[in-house]
Amino acid sequence: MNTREIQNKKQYIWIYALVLIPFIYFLIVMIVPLGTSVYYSLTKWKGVGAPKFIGLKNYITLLKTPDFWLVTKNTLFLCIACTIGQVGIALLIAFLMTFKKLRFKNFHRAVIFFPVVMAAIVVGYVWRFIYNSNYGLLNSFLTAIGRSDWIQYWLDDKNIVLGMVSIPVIWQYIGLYMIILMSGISAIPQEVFECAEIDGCTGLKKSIYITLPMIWDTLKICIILCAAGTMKIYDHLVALTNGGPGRATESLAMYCYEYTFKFGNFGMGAAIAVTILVFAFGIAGIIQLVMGGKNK
Amino acid sequence: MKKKLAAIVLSAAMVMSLCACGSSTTAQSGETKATSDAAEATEETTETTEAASEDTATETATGLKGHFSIYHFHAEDESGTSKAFWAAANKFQEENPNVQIDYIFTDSNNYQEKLTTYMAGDELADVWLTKGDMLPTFADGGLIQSADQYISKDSDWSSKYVEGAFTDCTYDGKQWGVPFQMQANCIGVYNQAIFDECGIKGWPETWTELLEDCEKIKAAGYTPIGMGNKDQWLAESAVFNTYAYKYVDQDWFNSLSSNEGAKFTDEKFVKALAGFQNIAQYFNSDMNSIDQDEMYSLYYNKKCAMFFNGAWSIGTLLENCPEDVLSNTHVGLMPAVEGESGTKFDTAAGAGWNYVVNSKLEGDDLTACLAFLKAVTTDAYADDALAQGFISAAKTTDTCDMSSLKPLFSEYYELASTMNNCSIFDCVLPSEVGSGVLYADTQQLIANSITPEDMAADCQSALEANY
Repeated sequence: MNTREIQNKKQYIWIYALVLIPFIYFLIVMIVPLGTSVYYSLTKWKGVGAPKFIGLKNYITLLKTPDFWLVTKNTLFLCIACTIGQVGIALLIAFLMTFKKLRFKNFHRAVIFFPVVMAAIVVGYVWRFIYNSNYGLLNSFLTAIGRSDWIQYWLDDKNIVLGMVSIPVIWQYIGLYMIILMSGISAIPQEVFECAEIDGCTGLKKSIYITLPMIWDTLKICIILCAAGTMKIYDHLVALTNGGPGRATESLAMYCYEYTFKFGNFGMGAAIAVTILVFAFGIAGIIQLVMGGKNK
Repeated sequence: MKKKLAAIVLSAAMVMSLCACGSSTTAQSGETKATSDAAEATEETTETTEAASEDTATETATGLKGHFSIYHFHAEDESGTSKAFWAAANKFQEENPNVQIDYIFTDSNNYQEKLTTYMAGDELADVWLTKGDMLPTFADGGLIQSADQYISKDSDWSSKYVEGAFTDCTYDGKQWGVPFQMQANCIGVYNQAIFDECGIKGWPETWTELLEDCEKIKAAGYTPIGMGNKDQWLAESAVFNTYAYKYVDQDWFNSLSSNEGAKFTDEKFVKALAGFQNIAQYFNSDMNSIDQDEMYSLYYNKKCAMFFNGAWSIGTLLENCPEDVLSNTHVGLMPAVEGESGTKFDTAAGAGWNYVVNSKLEGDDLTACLAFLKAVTTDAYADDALAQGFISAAKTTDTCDMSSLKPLFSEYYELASTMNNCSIFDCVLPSEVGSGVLYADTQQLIANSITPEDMAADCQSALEANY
């Protein structure tokens, strides 16, 4: 990395002053609201009057509520499914893109990236029409190929609905991680590949033994971004099923919204929000731990 | 060159994004102006009002002056009660140019959420609409003033409402709000042509008949009963609620809501749940993944023979239903269940939403606001609402032309007069129960993924946590 030596005190002041601006911004928009949320999570507050401090009671109630564990399970399932789906498929495609024989690379890249720029709510509605059990594309397609016995109530059957809603989410974001991974791959010096090829390492072997270790950090970032991002999943689910049937596809973020804005229970809402944060940190930490030392 | 261009574009984007962040406060504070087309009209009215007030402050017809804001969900281009509201509001503005009103509009789907946010941020308007389940929070928090202290003083005003109009806004012995509608939360709507085709003579009188009719309709290849419960409220609030009153009565519900003995786990309520789970076999298969509008589409396209929904659907049908379907459409009361105490007349109905007045509003502003509320809930409003296919909470005037009512609405109007209005669950119970557990579990109930006993126990434990 290129660094420049700091030459005098004046430069120090300048640098700190410039760093201070984003720091204060970060403090105001992130840290202060976070602190307030933690405080509210320890209170009973219906939005009127002064919040009443009740200690950890909200958290205890939350842990005793079966619905909370159901939505946590849903969120973790989506988190794992989306991470494996999005980053896994993106990695495969990124590898394929390195193959010299592949034609129309730009076209493929644009098409795969396209869903990323679509609004989640639009994706949700589009996939609702695909899944609709009466006039949906999927069931029409199954009928057309003579497999009517495979027809399901995709969004009404609580046993399969969670898997079904994860597909659009995976589909939408493959492109994003593909671009990140491809840029990681393109940053690998060409000489490394050339050396490997001279040594007889080609195709799949080259991907696994050369490319993968070289982009390990990028991959780690992708997984953390994906897992932490899916912890906040909200809009896709609202558009697809609105959390139903029952709470079969409700995520922690939806549960938090429900308590805060539908029930006006701000204390409990804040407690759920803090829990999401803890989960996201926990997951990021675990990924860091598992993937951390491998390439060192 | 390219770099320079990129730098310019990027800095422009940055400035734009900063502007976007910055302007949100202005947009909010002047929300009236920012909220869609409704606002444009308001803005114009407001401007003319101000101009007029400078010159002719004393020359107004009524002498009313003041300034207040109202947070509502009446879209200007909608049917039914919204049309009547705007007609009355615009007339009031014309007659009272010195009264300045800021209209803050949010569509009804997001209304409650935004209201909660305003409340928490202490940014409530001077008048807003609220349901009964929020009344205790507003009243106990000292955020609203009771409306009956003003209405009862004005006998000309208080005499204008129909009986029972204030039930939903009564809390702690006081009437806090001003009602504007009286509607059944459940009415059966059916296509006579499909009934005829299936050999069904008319609307069923008993539940057994309904089940038999459903079998016939199903055999003919139609969906017997349309259901669009993606948003979770329809099955519970607009159908099950009334069905439950075939088993339990108003006294039971009063006892339940005030923790005086009745429980969700009572045998008759569990029986109601089981009965409702049974009828769900006649709903469309995608009942939990389509919404109310898609349910209407099923009906418009003759895919389903009937549906149950609140009386608001009549206004929608009159506006959107294809003529050939509309001419065959009739309405009926939900049949009674044999051997149970409830009759077909027992229907969950009421004012539902009410206008409430901010406790901070006083003086001229309060006087103007009360006059406005009177104008948008009584007299011409009531007549107009009726013409739009909607029953208001006020009595119609003598000049109201009943013969001009649309046939479908006339049918409903006659039925409505026979109804025995019972409390709407989600307007009274705490929202965690009424709009929370009860909604979610009913969705599972009709999807057959929860037993009536489990649902009853779940609702009861949620209710006990919120007494």
